[in-house]
Amino acid sequence: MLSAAMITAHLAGTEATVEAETAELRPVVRAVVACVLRERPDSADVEDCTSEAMKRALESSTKARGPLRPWVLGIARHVALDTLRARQRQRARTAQLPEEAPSSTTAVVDRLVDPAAPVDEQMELAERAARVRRVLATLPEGPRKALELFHMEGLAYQEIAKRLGVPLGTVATWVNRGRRAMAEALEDDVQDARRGGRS
Amino acid sequence: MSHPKSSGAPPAETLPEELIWAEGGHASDIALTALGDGQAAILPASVLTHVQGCPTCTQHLGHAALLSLHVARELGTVAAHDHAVATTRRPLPRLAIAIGLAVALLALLPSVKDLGSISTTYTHAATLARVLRAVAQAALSPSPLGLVLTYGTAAALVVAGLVVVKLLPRKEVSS
Repeated sequence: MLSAAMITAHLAGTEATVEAETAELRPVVRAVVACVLRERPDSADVEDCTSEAMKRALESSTKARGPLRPWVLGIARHVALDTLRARQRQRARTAQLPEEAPSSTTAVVDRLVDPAAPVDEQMELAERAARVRRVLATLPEGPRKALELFHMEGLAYQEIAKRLGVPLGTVATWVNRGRRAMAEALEDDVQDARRGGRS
Repeated sequence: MSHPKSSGAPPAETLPEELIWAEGGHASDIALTALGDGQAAILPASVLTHVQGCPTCTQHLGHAALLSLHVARELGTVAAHDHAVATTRRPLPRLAIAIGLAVALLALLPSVKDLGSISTTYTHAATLARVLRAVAQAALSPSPLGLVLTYGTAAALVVAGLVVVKLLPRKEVSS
């Protein structure tokens, strides 16, 4: 039978594991923050946002559902975007000008992580899924399979290489090219849909 | 959607050197993508050290990580949609329907055996209906027989009523 001491030890062990895993992500968190803020990684703002993101991630690690990595990176992105918006508001107030329109990159990133609640979620989901399927179908077989195995089945690069019977370098190349092609095609699809909607 | 494993068993192999470094001594896109995906185990330590100290590579790493997040979310919609469709449009329970029909047919068998008695009952009912129709026609017809039948039946009903009243015990009423 489990004793209270064993449960406490287990929880402490789990917490320590999460803490260690989160700490391992610090360089990537810093990179994400620097990318969103478009600042040097050693700047004070990047350092502050990174620390804030890590703090929030650790404080609410029990709320994390699913894998830790995307969840922590999502927090990092969120914190950086909040800082960016606060900075834009401050700039607009100081200059007595209307708020600066977000850059195209920021708009894209906003759309990715904080999608507005759709009017009809089912329809929205169906449309998005159809769009992603359409784009996936345009990719060559290798990159498409590599992306599906990595993102949908959760396999590591080495496991994908074994599964597909190709060298590790090929998998890394397929993931890199496939992902870029997919992001570009998805963005084109969004632009086409907008143009179609306007005409 | 599951998530790729970022660490665990020691790596059996790492990425070939020519894929790791780009011009200018920076980490290649492939290496940064792998790092953004949490695949540090397939990269030599020298890449990690370089990226941590290089602002350009750090920026690119951030971009790669965000791109990975973006594509993961987009692919997640496919899985979410498949799941939603599977839960809303469940397949027709053909086996259950077939079993239900078979049971219903078995339950019908005794009735099939009794089909003969059903036809007899129907014949009797039809004969009775014919008799009643004939009586009704006779009663409604303007012939003297119809009049006799109508008044005769009425008189018989009155007599029957009187007989019943006479035969029933009288109820005593106290003042």
